[in-house]
Amino acid sequence: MRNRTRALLYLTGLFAALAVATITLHTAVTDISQPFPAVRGPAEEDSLRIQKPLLAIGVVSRYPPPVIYHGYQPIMDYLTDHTRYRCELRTASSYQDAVDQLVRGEVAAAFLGTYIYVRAHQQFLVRPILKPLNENGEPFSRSVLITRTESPIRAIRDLRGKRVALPSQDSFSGNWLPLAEFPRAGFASKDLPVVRHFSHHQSVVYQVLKGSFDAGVVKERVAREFGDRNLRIVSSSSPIPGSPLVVKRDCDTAIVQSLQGALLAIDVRTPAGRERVRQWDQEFRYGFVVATDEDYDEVRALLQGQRRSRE
Amino acid sequence: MTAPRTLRFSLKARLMLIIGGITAVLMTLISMSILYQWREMIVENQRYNAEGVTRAIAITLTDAFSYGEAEDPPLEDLLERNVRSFAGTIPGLVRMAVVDNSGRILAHTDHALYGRRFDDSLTRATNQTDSLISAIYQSPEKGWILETVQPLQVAGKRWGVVRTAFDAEPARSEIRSLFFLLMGLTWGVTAITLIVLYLLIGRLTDSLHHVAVLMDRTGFESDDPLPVPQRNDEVGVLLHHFDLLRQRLAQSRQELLSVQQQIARAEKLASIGRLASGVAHEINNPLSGLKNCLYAMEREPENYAQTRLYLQLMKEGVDYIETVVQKLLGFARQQPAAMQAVDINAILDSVVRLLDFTIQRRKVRLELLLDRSIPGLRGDPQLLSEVMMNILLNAIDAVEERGHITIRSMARDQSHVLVQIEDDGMGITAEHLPHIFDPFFTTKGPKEGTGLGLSVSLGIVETHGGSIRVQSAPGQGACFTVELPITGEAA
Repeated sequence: MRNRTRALLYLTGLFAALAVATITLHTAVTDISQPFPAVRGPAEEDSLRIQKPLLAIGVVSRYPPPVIYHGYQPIMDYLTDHTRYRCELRTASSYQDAVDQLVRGEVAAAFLGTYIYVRAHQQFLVRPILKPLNENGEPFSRSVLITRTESPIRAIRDLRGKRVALPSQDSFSGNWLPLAEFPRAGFASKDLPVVRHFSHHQSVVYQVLKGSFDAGVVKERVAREFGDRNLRIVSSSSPIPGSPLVVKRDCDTAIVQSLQGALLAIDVRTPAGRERVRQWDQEFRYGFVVATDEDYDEVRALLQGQRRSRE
Repeated sequence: MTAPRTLRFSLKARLMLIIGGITAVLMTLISMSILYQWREMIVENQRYNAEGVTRAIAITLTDAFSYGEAEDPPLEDLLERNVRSFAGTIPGLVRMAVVDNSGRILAHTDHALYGRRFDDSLTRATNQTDSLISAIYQSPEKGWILETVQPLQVAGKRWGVVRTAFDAEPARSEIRSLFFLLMGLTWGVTAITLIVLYLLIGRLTDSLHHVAVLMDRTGFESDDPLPVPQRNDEVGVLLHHFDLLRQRLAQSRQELLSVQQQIARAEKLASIGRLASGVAHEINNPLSGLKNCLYAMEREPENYAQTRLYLQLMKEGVDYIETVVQKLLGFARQQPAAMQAVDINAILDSVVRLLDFTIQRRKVRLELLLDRSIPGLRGDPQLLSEVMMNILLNAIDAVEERGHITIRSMARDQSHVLVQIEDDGMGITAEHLPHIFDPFFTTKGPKEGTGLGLSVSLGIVETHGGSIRVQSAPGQGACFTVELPITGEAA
């Protein structure tokens, strides 16, 4: 009897211990807050940037805002790290809006398009300070006529009777065909069934790819971005000076020197330089040179001459 | 020798405890290892999914921010639209918030929280990193929550963060189910192991018990094979070896008996030799006297005075020889005594009175310490008187003049009485002590003793079912203790 009571006591103790162990284990296992860390990834101290004076830099709305941010924000980060300013990007709702921001002093500098710069220079006393190089190290870019690969369009003259999509009316690409090439081919925009301007170069590409338009004009760098899609380049413009970084004529020299010094210091011939610009917009991945207003005289003459002849 | 009836730590209990314990511990370790790995996978999987969803949401919201800066509709409208859309379509999403860099809520699934600021540890952690942050915690209102915080930024441009909270209870339920499954498996396997062990060890211990019973019942006198069926397992080996042991024991026993018989025979021969030697020695002296007397009488037949004297001497010698022979016969016969009720104290009183003259002459101080309340016993009073007289005479001979002798009687227990006769004489040497009850052994001179008194006394006492013990050392006297059984009859 005593043995049985003792055995019962041992068993009870054993089961009690097992129950306590099971409950403890269950609590530990189902507490999923442990051991998983609440914070992952490196911490980054950003206080240095905040202490620097703000320098807003605008950009024309040649691309959708997300694309602009992805391509231009790394340039802002670079400038913040290599100048005494905290550079912030300001997007614009249009090409003209970017010029207005510059004129109103809301931005100290702006990445303008070639065409809008030529126009703004005449109206608002702005001047270029830098222009980008292309993959050949030349300070030029091109606009290209694109169509779908299977399209019968082989030359600009084949556009007669076709629907054509163009970027902003304030861009060189938006004016190249109407002002320079259509007259040379012997017809005008009004001879085409549809000529429509879109806000962004990418929108032109999408319209051509979808078949809504037979052809379109975009910057060469945008056409290259979609090179693996069903696109073919029909024709290219003659080389024109690249899209300039523009400041007001009375801009603080220190700002100009600071921006020029930082961007001209990039040497893309070195691996470090190439790595630095890897995330930048493709138009700016080959470095910069100093720009002057005279560099854009040829464009100015081309467009003005064609406009006059058209008139 | 019998086996213990209860086993505190039986073989079965120990084996079950050890193997069961090891099985339980191993199974628990294995189960816990599996459980923790699965637990990590389950939680990591949910976190991976949550972070993927949050990253996707962040892309959309980043676009909204970038569009909202430059174009219509206003940023708040875009954020609101996105939050509403995500909240209604993403399963498991408990809440979602878009927060600017100062922690102010720009959009939230709960409209009441618009404009308020987050100020928790997660927000503080978020401010220090550009990477996604995840946290799992228990919310008082929402239960277990997996919250991820993804900065809304492009390169160095940061608009704020999106915080998404997912219900983590499904992961916990999955872990809980796994926990109970593995615990059940652990205890199930342990229980099955214990049951199997119990049965197997039960069979083994039953076999051992059977062997033990067989061993108890098996006598060692017979060398017949054990009456058990042949077994080919360890128990069979044990039985086989037990059988061999039994055979060896039987053989040893036979050899022991043979040796004992040889020893008895040798002792018997030695006793006969010692007896013959004693008889020859005792008789030789009076025979020499007789021979001398006859020689003298033969030489001077007419010398009647001498002849009368020698005849007297020859008579004494013959008497002595007769006494020796009588005692020898008495020792050899040791016939059963004529039993009657005896008062041992009365016998002692009688013996003391008979020897009173000798005691007085030797000026021995005798002390009688008799317990008069001891019960009577059955015995032969003449023989017992002879025993007491022999021992007391030895004590008187042992003490010098003015020596001290103490006689005690007492009851040892309810079935035996003791008589002690103690003297302060010369004592007995260790060399002589083993031989004092041997026939004809004596340390006295010729004519003083035959060496048969103590051996005769021992025979008488043993005939009465008793015993005689001696304690003595040289110079420290001797104490003879006679132990006699009580028959229950009063004297």
